Amino acid sequence: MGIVSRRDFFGSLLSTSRLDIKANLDEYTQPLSRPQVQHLLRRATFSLSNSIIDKYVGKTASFVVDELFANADASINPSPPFFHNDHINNPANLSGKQREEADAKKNLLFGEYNHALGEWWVTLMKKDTVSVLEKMVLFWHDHFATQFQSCDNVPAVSMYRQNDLFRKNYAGNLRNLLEQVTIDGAMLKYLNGNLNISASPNENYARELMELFSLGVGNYTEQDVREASKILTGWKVNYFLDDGIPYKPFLNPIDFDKTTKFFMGEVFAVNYEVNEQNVFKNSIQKLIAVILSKKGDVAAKFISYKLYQYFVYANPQKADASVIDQMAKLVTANDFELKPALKRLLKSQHFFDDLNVGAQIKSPAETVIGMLKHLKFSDRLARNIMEVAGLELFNPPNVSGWKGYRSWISTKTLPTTIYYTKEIINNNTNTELADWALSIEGSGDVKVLTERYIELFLARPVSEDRFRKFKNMFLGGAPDYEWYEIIKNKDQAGQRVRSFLFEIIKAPEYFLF
Amino acid sequence: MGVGVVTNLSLGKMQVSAFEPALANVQNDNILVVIQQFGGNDGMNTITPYEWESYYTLYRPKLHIPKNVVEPISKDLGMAMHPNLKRGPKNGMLGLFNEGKLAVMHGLGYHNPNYSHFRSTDIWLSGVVPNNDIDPLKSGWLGRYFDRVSPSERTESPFCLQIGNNPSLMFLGETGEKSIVLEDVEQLYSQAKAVESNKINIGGSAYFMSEFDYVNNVGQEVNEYSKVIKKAFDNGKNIEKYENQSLANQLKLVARLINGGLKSKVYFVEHHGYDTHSNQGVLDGIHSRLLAELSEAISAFQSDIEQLGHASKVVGITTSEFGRRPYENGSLGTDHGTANVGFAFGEGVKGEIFGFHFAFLPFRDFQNLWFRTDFRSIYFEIMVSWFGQTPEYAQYILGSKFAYIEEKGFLKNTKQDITLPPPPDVPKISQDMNNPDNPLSPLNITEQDKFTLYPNPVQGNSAFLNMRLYFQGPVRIVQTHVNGQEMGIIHEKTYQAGLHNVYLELKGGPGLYLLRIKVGKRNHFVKCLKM
Repeated sequence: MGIVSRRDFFGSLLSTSRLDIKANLDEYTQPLSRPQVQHLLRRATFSLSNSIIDKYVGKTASFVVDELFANADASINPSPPFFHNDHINNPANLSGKQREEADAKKNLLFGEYNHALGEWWVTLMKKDTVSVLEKMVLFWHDHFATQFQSCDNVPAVSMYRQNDLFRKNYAGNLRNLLEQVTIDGAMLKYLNGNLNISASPNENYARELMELFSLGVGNYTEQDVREASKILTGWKVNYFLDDGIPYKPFLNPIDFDKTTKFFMGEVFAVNYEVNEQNVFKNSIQKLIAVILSKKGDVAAKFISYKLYQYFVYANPQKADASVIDQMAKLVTANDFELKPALKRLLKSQHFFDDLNVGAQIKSPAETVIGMLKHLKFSDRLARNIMEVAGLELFNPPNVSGWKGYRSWISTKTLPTTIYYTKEIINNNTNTELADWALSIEGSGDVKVLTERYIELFLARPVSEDRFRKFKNMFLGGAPDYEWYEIIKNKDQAGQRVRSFLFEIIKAPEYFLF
Repeated sequence: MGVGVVTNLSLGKMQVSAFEPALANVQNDNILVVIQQFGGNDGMNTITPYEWESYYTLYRPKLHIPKNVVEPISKDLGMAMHPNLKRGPKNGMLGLFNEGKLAVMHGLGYHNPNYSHFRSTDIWLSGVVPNNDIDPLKSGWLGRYFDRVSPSERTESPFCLQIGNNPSLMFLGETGEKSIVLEDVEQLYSQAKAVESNKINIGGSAYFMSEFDYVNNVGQEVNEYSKVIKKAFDNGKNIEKYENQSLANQLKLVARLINGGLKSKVYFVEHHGYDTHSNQGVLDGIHSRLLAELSEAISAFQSDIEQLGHASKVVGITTSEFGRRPYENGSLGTDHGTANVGFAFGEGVKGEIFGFHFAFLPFRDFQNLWFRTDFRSIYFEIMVSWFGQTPEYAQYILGSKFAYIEEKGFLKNTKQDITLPPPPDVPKISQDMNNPDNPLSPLNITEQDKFTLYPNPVQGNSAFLNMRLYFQGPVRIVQTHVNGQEMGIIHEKTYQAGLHNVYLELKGGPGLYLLRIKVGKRNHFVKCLKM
């Protein structure tokens, strides 16, 4: 990698500009170089390992991307968290000791188990190094943001079921996802769907369905919100055995608005027997179908834009608009099946354009999991670190999800993240750190070792100056060939690895990928 | 680093003139504290219209604050404070009002209000009301305000200090963030030592370099300002006792930093939880708890600042992205609305009520409130009267000049300025049924209810009637053949004022019919051809 001076950069910016970027989705067909493999894996997974990079160097983008999706398809049924079948009777209907026990269990289900669920997901993210699965599950969690913690908490079992829905449909059909999320137990609770009754509709979910989940602000009218909320009435979810089947959404026909509604120019007549199947088909599915047929292009563009921001660059420029348009066309051409557009994007010349390499700002999922993967540390505490760094799993700040992009790095989160990443490193002894370094192929050569570590953690190769500085953390001023002596003493070598990692995690490009 | 010098600031569709007034070099050390009420505060239950019968019977049959517990602040205007606004030292915010240190500002909003939290929050934070819903709002009003202060050098203290996690759009300028975000001073100070504090010149591609510089710059700011802030924290103290909850703790920290000599101009604190779609509750509900926290925190802060001797240079304001709808929903909550009540506090504010009470009718879109004062009037006045800038500079930041609230302004040292544009034209109101300014009287409704039938001609029996009602009442629709034969009542129901789509099942065979629509005592006719 050549070193570009600032002067050169501004010179070239004036003469060439962003418009020269490969602004189309044509496939990148050449064999992938090592930095290109890193780029692809950084964007598709949460953590890198040198051996996986080795494995894909020289393969085509098409081969690697197909494999990332095939591996994802094969992993959509992880073993569920330990509490996934737990249910209780409503403590309010009990008394004495039974009530105390049920109350204690309820506190777990609505509180602590949601933290345990975060830990469960951290473990999955950490293990998922060769597929796009968990990255997409997080995308959906951010897109259909649901907080377990609100004034009235959502039980962990419902949060788990929603996560499972995202996993099973990780690159599936947007139509199907919208239909399912609309009557998802956690979502019904979070956006008051279960309180939306014919006697007096609650607009909360209907608005966010169009504003945040499908179309974007400005693409619907207030009348659409009012009519959609009527169409969505009657769905409920129970959490206690004595109230019915717990966690399973159902229709309460009494609360369903049986009048005829008029939404985006379509008539929603209730000329059918009001039962769960019929209402799902004629109200929920039809509502989504009307949105996606009347405003299909808007919806396709909306989701394509968000996917582009997630995988390519969070701050798309004018020149990128045509790429997003092409993605949107693929989305509509495939009837909202997202996999074709996603694969095409990740295989494209545009994706591999140098301008897009290293330009993303890491979320705590990338900073924390990327380090956690290699070291001995508790997944539960890693979940907590992600929380203080600004990304608490199952508890986004509000229904629009995390703000992302530069908001990941503030004067608050930057020092906090560095501080706690040190804790992860310091949970490992010198010997453990030395063993890790020595397990890296070519680690006997300090130059190779430095390169291999840099590829794991930094967004782009560094200048010669900085390379020397990083390498010197291993050497402590000694010449390169001394490394051979240093590694004979694991305690000493481990201490050097520690100093090296401390230097790496404060580098600005540790926070980019 | 931005690319090139910004010479033509574009705010939405609005082009700000190339004329760039200079930032006046005033050495005033006035401080502004902004309290953001996230989620949309229910203004109607904050300052209750306690003399309005319709508040108890029509709009809030379940969610009204009972008349016998509220604290009237103006009998004439029919306005009372929620009882929890007297919580806190010296009778809380009610006490501040009685001492003349709290301004109650009614009906803050903007034209064509947006009902999305995120869009409306961005509009308030940016100080830009865009012409459409799509244009991104890329900078905040205070970010732009501080853009003009020698961008190359760091000031001794950060311009703005924000307690929380995420940088607010309010402080994002064209040349970068103008605030430091922190939760805990000691923690920031100890953690900052491990952050890269040198400027690194990096090569690579353009996007990468721009993001690298961003992160690098945050690190440098952390390094530098954490020391300044720590010093102020160690030198400062609190005298008043605060409640131990989030908002109070944030303001407690602000008071201590001001006392310790931090020179930041603006402090920003957050109060979350106002999105009360469900279980908003009455006296023991969520909203009442939030108001108690607000009053306790504000009054403790003001008392502290007075005892610490800084009262002459600190004022605070509350802002919220919108109010909530007058009609409660069926989930014991309220949905997103429009204009809202805001507060300003401090020795520098006029302890008065600004604006009339909400005009219940006519609603601006049949069910939401009109606004009376553009929220940017408050920003404009702050920049001119509190920060001491020229009206031209404030105009440059906001894209135009704004009338002071009620033309006199809420700050004591505001001087009337006849060159400012007039305030927005809004309907006058009166509670007296015989007064022509009483919008509740159907006699005063100048707009006619509107009815449109479609499709028309009607194929088969099914049709929709689109109704715009300017007054609530029973609606009865009778179908009559043009030959006079009455076919019977085809619809009968009571509707609120607003826009409604009514599904009709028409009777009889093909032919020309008349629909007689009776709303209250008024009759309307719609012709209908059945095929």
